[in-house]
This record gives sequence, structure tokens and C-alpha cells, in this order.
Amino acid sequence: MEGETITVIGVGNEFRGDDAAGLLVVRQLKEKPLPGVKFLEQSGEATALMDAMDQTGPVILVDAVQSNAKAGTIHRYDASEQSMPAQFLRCSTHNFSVHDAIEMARALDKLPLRLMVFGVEGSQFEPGAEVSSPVQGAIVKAVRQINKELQTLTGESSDA
Amino acid sequence: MKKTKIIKVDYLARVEGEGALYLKIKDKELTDVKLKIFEPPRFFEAFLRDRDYTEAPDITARICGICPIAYQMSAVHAMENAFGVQVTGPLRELRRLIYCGEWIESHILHAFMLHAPDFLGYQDAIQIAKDHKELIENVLRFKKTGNEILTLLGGREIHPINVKVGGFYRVPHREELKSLQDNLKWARDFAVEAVKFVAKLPFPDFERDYEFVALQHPDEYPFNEGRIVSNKGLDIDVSQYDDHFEEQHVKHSNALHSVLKERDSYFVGPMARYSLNYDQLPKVAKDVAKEAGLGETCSNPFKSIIIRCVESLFAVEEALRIIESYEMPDQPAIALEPRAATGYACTEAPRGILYHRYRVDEKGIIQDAKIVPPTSQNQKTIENDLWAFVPEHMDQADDQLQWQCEQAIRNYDPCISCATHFLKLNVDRG
Repeated sequence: MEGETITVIGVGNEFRGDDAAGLLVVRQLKEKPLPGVKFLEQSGEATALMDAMDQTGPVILVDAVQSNAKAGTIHRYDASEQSMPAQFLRCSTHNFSVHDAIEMARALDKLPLRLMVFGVEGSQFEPGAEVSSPVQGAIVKAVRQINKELQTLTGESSDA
Repeated sequence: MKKTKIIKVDYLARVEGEGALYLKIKDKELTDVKLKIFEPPRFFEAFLRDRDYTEAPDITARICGICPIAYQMSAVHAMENAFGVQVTGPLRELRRLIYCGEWIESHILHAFMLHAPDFLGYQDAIQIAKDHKELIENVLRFKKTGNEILTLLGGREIHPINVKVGGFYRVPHREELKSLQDNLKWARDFAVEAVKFVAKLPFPDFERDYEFVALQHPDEYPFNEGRIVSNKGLDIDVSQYDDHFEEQHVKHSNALHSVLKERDSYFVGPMARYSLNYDQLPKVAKDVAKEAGLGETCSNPFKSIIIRCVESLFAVEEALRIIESYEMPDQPAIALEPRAATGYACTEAPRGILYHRYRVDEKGIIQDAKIVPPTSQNQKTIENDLWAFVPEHMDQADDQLQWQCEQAIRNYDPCISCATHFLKLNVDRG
């Protein structure tokens, strides 16, 4: 029996500038498939996202963020350990945001045992906008960081 | 000494998009009310110019993540109106079905995730979930039933891609639709419970003499077709919309205020639809509405939460009816030929009527587009509600008054993202 599958979820809207960050990170990660790792793309629709997160294995979620930090900053939260900051991950056009989906899953005891959230700080989210250059750089960095995380996790799960 | 009190909500929570509220009270007299919509304008009407008619449903669906079907339905019906064709039979039924999915998703999300916290005294739905876990689990399951309809017919649960002028790109087999039945049957039972739950919420005693505006169809509760009617005598074909309604720019908002030229502000959305189309509801929805204390019309906007749940029940019933009688059509779309013309359509978005008008040339290239979303139609009515509501509740503490004013705004499920796509477009073109 192999170790638990690791799920990497990229969230975003590819037609709204930096909001595409999560999707682009996942697409780059997919280019080098790792055994025991699956990749999902999500729009941020909360119920679908809660379903996607409902996994027995670890989950890594990547999304664009607007938290007044410098564009291109990469935030990392261990959401299984701590609640997400209130204004984090609220740049979705949905009322019921990615933040709310995570906290709602926590309230309903549906959060995966390990949930790491990577937030890429964006600056332009207008419809039709390009991905900004700080975010393009951050995407490359985030791919590297998540790859490292995946290697650690796959190592851990194969040892288990 | 006169006392001036200002209540400001800089960022309205639990509404779609970015808006703010400003109230000025001078010596216990309300002197100013502004619902400010400051989300940047989005110029969709300008994006549409010089695009092919086939692109209108997919471009306009991007205006809103919550009600993309409404945009697609208004767009395809307006184009079909321009080309002089009408979609009938199973394709027409499938369009009603996909709209059922959107109403289910949108209504339940608003009623329980965004509006119920106001009535129950919670900051948000996550706090409700901590105390009422089973209820919220059922709400999410109910919403997923709507998602499933959208995913099957629209290709995905958000920003669907399967709707086209003339029909669909692909239509489902009968067995695929049947796969939705079990969850819908569960949803029918839950919708009844949902109505009962919200009917017990405490409602402020508040009614106004509104002009309700909605579609009305002789045979069905309206989604895509019908005349535009009101309880004050309006009864027009959709193509006459511009003769009777106009949009006015107000300084404090990025959204235009829509008014009836003959009178003034008006009310669109579930409460208007219900009050003008009660007779077309299925018996089970009428019975549950009656049990919830609703009459055949309703003028207390706070009770719109009950009507959203009644309409959710209707949408589930209608979805089951359509699935039961569905026969797969031979073609997923009817053939049509573009021609130079102007097309009009109005459909019932979850929040109320959504008007589209397109002028296209002989090749079907869009020359001009006009879109009037429900929130800009309700904006003046929301402000008028506050003009009436605040003086009656002046003695409350500021935080309580602010809470209730926000609740009054949420009665309309305002979609600010939808409403802000215009603003001084002519000026910009110079």
C-alpha cells in the first residue's frame, strides 16, 4: 500500500491578472509529475473547493492574495494549525471566499489533517489584466518552494 | 445645540463586490442616505462592441461569478430575438433547468451564508456552523445540488461554457439527467425545512408600497420569457424596456440608478417575482409559503429570505419536472442566420430582471450593447428603504442601527460587481 496521496490545489481566475497565480503554479508543478501527488484546479467556488479539500492525505492550496504586502510576496500558512487571518484569501469575486471555505471546513470538522496554504501577493486583478511581473517571479519561487515541500512530504509518506 | 451623527460603513460585508453606506442624522432627523458603490466600473458593454454575436454569452457570463447563467440566458435570448428565431421543446426546457441550478445555488448561499447571520446575531455563517453544524452541512449539500445541474448542463459549476445562441454545444442524455434525481429529491425535502427555519426568524415590522417589476408568463413561473409587468399597471413587451425605464447617474455611486420614467424607483427580485407570479407556483410551494405566514404578496423586504427559500423549493420541483419528462433533442442547437437587427431580452436572474439589448450588423457583429443588471435597478429602492427605516429606529444604539441597516441592504442580495460596469463611458470616449 502506497503512502497517502498529496493533493495540490491551485485556485484562481486566469482572466483576472494576478488572480491566475494559483492556477499557473499548479500548471508548472504538473509538468514534473511526482508519484503520489495529484493536482487540481479550482475556481474558488466554496462548496467545490471544500469537496476538493476533503482528502485523507495532506493538501497544499495555492491562491492569489491581497493583504497589503509587497506584490510578489509569498505567504505560507499551516492552516491545519491556525485559523486563517480574516482578510486573507478574500480577493475572490465570491462572497463565500476561499478563506471562508477553509474556515467553514474547520467548523464542520472537514479540514484535512494537514493543510498548507501558499498565498501569492498580487497587485492587479482587473478583468483582462496580465499577470504582473512581481507575481510572475513569485510563481517561479512558489513552484520551487512547493516542490521542496512535496519532496519532504513524499519522503515522509513513503516512510510511513 | 444640534447634534449631528454620522454612521459610516466603509466596507459592506456579505454583499457581492465593494460598497459602502453613509447615513447622516442631524438632531434626530435623517438628512442623508447614500449607498455607495465604488467597485471599479467594468465597461463590459464596450468590450462587446465589434465582437461576434456568438461571443456574447461567454463574455457577459464573466460579469458575475454568482449569476453567470442569467447573463448567458439574457444574451442568447436577445440574439435569438434579433435573428427572429425561438428555441422551443427540450432545448427550452434545458434552459429552464440550468436556471433552476443557478437559483438553487444563489438563493441558498444568500439566505443562509450571507443573510441569516443578520437575523441570528452571528458575525458570519462560519459562526452559525459552529452552533448549527447539521443545518449548515445540509445547506452546503443543497447548494451542491445546484452546482451539479450547472456542471452537467454548463460544463462546470462556475463560469459555464456550454450555452450558445440557438441552444447548447452539447445536450445530455436522459440517463445523465436522471442521475440528478436522487439528490434533487433530498433537496426538495430540505427546501421545505429551510422555509420553516427562516420563517421563524425575527422580522422587523416594516412594509412599503413598492412598485414590483418582474416577468410574467401565462403558463409558468418566469425564467426566460414573458412580459415585463408591475403591480402599478406596467405591462410591456421586453422590446419596450427603454421606452419606460431610464438609468440616471448619481455622483456617489459607480452604478447607475435605474428608474421608471412614469414614476420613480421600483423593486425587482424574489419578492417582486413572487408577488406578481404567485399563481404560477406549484402547490407544494404555495402550501409551504402559507405555512410560513406569507400571503399571495409580500411587502416586507426582510421577509425576502423566506421567499428565496420558497423559490428554491420551486426550482427543485421544476428541475424534477423537467428531468422526468426530458427527451434528448436531435440537435443540441437550432440553426440560425445572423441579420442586421436589434434584439432584446429580459430574464429573471436570482436578484431580479436582467435586461440585455444588442444591435448587430448583417454578419452578426455587435455594434452596440446595453446591459441593466438587477442591482442597479434596486439601488434607489434600497436607499428609499433606509430613508423609511432609519427614522423609525432612530433611538437604537449606533451599532444596532448600523447592523439593521446592513441587514436591510442585504434584503436585496445586492451584486455590486454586476452593477458597476458603466460609469461615464461617453465622457471617457470624449
